[in-house]
Amino acid sequence: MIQKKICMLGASAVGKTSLVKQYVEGIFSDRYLTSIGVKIDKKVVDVGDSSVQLMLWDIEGVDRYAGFNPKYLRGSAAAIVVVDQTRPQSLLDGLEICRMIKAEKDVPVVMVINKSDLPKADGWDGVAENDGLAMIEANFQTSAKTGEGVENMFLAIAELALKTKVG
Amino acid sequence: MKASFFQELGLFDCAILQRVENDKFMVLYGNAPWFITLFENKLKGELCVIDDSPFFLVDFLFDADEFWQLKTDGRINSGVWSEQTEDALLRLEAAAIFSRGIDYLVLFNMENEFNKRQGMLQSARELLISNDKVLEQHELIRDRVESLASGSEQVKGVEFPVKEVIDHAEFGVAILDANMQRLEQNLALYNLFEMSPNDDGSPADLLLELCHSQFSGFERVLETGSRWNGEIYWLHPPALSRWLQLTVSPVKDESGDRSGWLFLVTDITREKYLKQSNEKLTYFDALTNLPNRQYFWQYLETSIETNQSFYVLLLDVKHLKRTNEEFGFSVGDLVLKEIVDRIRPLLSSNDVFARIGGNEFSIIVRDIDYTKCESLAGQMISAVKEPYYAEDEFKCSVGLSIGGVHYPKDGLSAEELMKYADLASFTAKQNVKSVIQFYSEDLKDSSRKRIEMESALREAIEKKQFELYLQPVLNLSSENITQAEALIRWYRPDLGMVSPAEFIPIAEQTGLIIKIGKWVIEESIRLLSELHRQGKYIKLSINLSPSQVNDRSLLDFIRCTLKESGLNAKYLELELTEGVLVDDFDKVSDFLQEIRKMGVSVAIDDFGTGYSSLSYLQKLPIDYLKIDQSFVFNLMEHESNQAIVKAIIAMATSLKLEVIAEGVEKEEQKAFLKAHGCHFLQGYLFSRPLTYDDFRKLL
Repeated sequence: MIQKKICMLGASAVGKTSLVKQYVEGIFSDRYLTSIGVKIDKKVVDVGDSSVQLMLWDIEGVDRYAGFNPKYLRGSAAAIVVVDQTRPQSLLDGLEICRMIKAEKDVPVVMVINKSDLPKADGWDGVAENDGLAMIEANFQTSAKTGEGVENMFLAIAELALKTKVG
Repeated sequence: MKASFFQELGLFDCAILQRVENDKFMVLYGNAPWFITLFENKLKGELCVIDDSPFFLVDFLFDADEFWQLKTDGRINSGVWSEQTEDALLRLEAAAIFSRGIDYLVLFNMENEFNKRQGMLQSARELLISNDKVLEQHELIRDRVESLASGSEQVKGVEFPVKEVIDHAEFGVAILDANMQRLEQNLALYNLFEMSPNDDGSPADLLLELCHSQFSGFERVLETGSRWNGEIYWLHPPALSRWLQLTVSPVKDESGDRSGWLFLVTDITREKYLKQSNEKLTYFDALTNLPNRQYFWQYLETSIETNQSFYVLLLDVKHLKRTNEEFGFSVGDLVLKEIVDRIRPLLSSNDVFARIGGNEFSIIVRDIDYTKCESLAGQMISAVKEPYYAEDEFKCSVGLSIGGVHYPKDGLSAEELMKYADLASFTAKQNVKSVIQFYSEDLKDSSRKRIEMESALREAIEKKQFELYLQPVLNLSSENITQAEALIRWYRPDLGMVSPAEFIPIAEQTGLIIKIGKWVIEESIRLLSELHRQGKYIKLSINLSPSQVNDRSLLDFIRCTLKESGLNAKYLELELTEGVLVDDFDKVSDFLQEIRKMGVSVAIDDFGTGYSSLSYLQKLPIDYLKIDQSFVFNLMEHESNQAIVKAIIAMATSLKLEVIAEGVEKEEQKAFLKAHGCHFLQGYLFSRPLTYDDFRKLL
């Protein structure tokens, strides 16, 4: 079976772990528990006639306590940058992470705007008018809580990853 | 392999494998249940192949392989990862070690460290996010209220849209007028102080009381119309207490005049509790790892108790806000870290270096005299002034304003020292360049005088105590007065004439220059119109200050005033100093293009004293250069001045600009200037600045 490594990145508390948990185990917890280091989860997804095993690298949030580690990108077929629509700062951080990914490796990057079940922050639209969004291959709206958009997002990632030679 | 060897390597809850070839490893040590589960019951001496799982470890082996090939004693670590086995979630870290010619792969069980780190970062990240949210909300509401309020001339009553925003705010909002009388306070503010609108007391009054008693620089914030963001503590015996995040912001009307105050308050008691759960976070700034404000204050108080002399330096990073706006906060953070790296080597191990605010640092410097302290400040300024390169992409510059105060000479308590350091730093900030300002009694006096002057200036605007004097400018080819410079004069009923050199800088600092400048424009156009009605077609020039050029409403104001008067714009001229050109070329260029479109001409004042380059002059729509009077004053005595004047005239001629020489007092000066092609003269030789009536008579 084809294996594809997908890196999940983003600022702290945007919902990376929750998205993986929702997708792989179908569960969600409201309690925020910060991730440390890396955790890899696997899920097989059918894309057309092929089955792809996604290796989802859930990486600790990038913030002042944990920097961006480019080594984790090695062998990845795509990167997902998760942002939280209730915190405009997470979008700015997310764009910065996108820039760092692109500087390190030519890999498709998609942006996932999570927590769509919650109201968008007042300052969000102002921040979202950002030239940096041009470097992103696609973006998705998801709610790890309700599951909305999660399955479709990972399916799209699988399709994108299949087009990438590595991973 | 002996246990002592493991101890030597600092290894305990671990498993040790020796690489045999490529991805084949022999188990040297590995009795722990977690290892047995992970490696399917591999025992000591058995071989295992790591080519498929654990996936994270397989990935790490790429790095490890590169490292082992170096054949150098040492180790690299993989970082922590979580590995789900059938019955447990393991927290592991791997290390590739090369020792005594052998490749080792060591796996550590990080369960305890992981839990410790998770506990600490859980608090830290919750705190980070809460703080971000509070500041984000404050910033948002401040922007809204400011933009809504700036539409009205005074915050006399709170208009409907502003009120709606305030009523719906989740945090306390109070709006006070310029005299600190409350105009509005929302329900959230009542709730914060456990009050109700039906009670006798007012939460806004209580808030002011807390500010006065807990924040030593509060008076200065009010006097200078500055912004402040910080924390205050409210204790309500017997059992209730709250930490409050407070933003104090002046509200300005459309002319830039302060018309009120906005107070935004959020309860951050929970965040404080989280902070206290981790001492490192309580006393150290997370970004720079320097001691924070709380630590600094405690240390300052302890230092005073030792009764040994020291200096406190308050460092304010100039233009950090501009860097954040232009390049983003991450670049601003990098700059702050770099500043710390540049300053730290200049300090001794006895000194205490702390970050006490967003762009503020403070240092306690011991065993140093005044001269050395001044020199140290100079070194810090030079180090910080060097450009910053972020990610090899952005180049930015910041500056440093330093306020210095000495214990025990200037103050005996921490409050006094910080208050005076704050005053000195504020004075240093008024200088465009990076400087140090030490506190002195004179500084205190001048601060008091400045406050008095500001209040008198406000009164002068209201009571129309200004008058325009006109100084004639002589056209050398016709020997006629064809234009004049408008100069403001202020007659204080109690003190008599006040020199512009005294009040203009204060008007600049307080923003009153905007209002005064508009009055000058209006009055100049009125006088010009009157002269033209009498058939005296004179051109009048007006001085513009840097703040006026930055005032977005100025262009419209000039346009409207000209239109209302019916005056031909070609009779109006604006004078800017070289410093304004250099400050922000793009902004000034746009401004001058608009001025040119209106038909108003532009002169560069005090030319020769600033730093404007030829390329600036070429690119900007300029009509006249005014040679600074310092070159004309000793023109005949100093050959160097003659050379400079000749060079300016030659340069102006090549750029097709006309030249006005200022400060001409002697016939020989006039003759020299005429002989070398100067077009216009201004100075006491022909006339001092005159009242309108005298000027009219002269014409």
